[in-house]
Amino acid sequence: MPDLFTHFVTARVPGLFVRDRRLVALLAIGTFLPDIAAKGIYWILQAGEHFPLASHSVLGVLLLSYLACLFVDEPLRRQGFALLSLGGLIHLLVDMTKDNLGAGAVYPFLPFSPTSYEFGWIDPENVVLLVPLDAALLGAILLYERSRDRVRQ
Amino acid sequence: MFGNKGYRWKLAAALALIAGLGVEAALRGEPTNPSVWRCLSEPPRWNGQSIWIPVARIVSVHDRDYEIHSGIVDIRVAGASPGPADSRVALIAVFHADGPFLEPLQTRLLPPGTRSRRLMEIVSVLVTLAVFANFAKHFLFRPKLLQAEGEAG
Repeated sequence: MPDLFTHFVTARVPGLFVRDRRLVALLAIGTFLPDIAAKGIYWILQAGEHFPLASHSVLGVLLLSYLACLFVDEPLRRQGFALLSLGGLIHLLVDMTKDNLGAGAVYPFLPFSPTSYEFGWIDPENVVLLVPLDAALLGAILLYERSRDRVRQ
Repeated sequence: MFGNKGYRWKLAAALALIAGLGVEAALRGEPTNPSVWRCLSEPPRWNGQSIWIPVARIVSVHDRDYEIHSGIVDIRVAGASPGPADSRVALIAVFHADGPFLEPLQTRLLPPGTRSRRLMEIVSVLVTLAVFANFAKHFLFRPKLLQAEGEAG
């Protein structure tokens, strides 16, 4: 996985278009959901090493998002599911930017196909170089949100 | 689908589907990319299988090959070592049962990078804590707060 900071910032971009702060919080949690599930299944439940791959598939993201949305208030569930899923799918796209020598870290079409995919743009060992870029982007997002809130008030 | 009717059944169904997807991923993922220890436990079965090793440590370097430590096992890799002993490598290689040994297809010497890795881990933990704090702010059930609001209302 790229660092969680990059995952968080990429989820905050579509979060600009969501007014409800609770839904933005769900979008951010959604982008962590595949890794939370994968690490939890592997480290806590001690499942086999291929079992957590399901969390990095489209169907896995949708199922995890559905499970997670059941824990929020009923009126918020439908939108919550949409934003948790959006966050999860963004996570998969960001993970696909990694260069794992062509091996890939995302299995989008499980259970129909076990093939993994990657764009191979970023060496996973160099994600630290993304931190300044992430910080700048996050700063711009927060400034924009603050100015927008002032105009609304 | 998002209502409270049959809530427990929905929870159970989501969990069961996630578990089923995980089992399917484990069953289909293992033949696609088995671990080194699994190849070593049944060499004839995995002869000629291409495997991805995301991180391994070079244990010793010889004239015509070198030995790596991956997970819980050591294995010989044919060819010149990409780095000195104790350095880290990522490999895509073909497993050969006679030996057994690995024939590397792609090799990448990983930077030592302990400081940058540590920095990335710290940033990731801080971001995770911030996201969960924000989530708790919006969704944590606080009876005392509700009680105070009720009294004020």
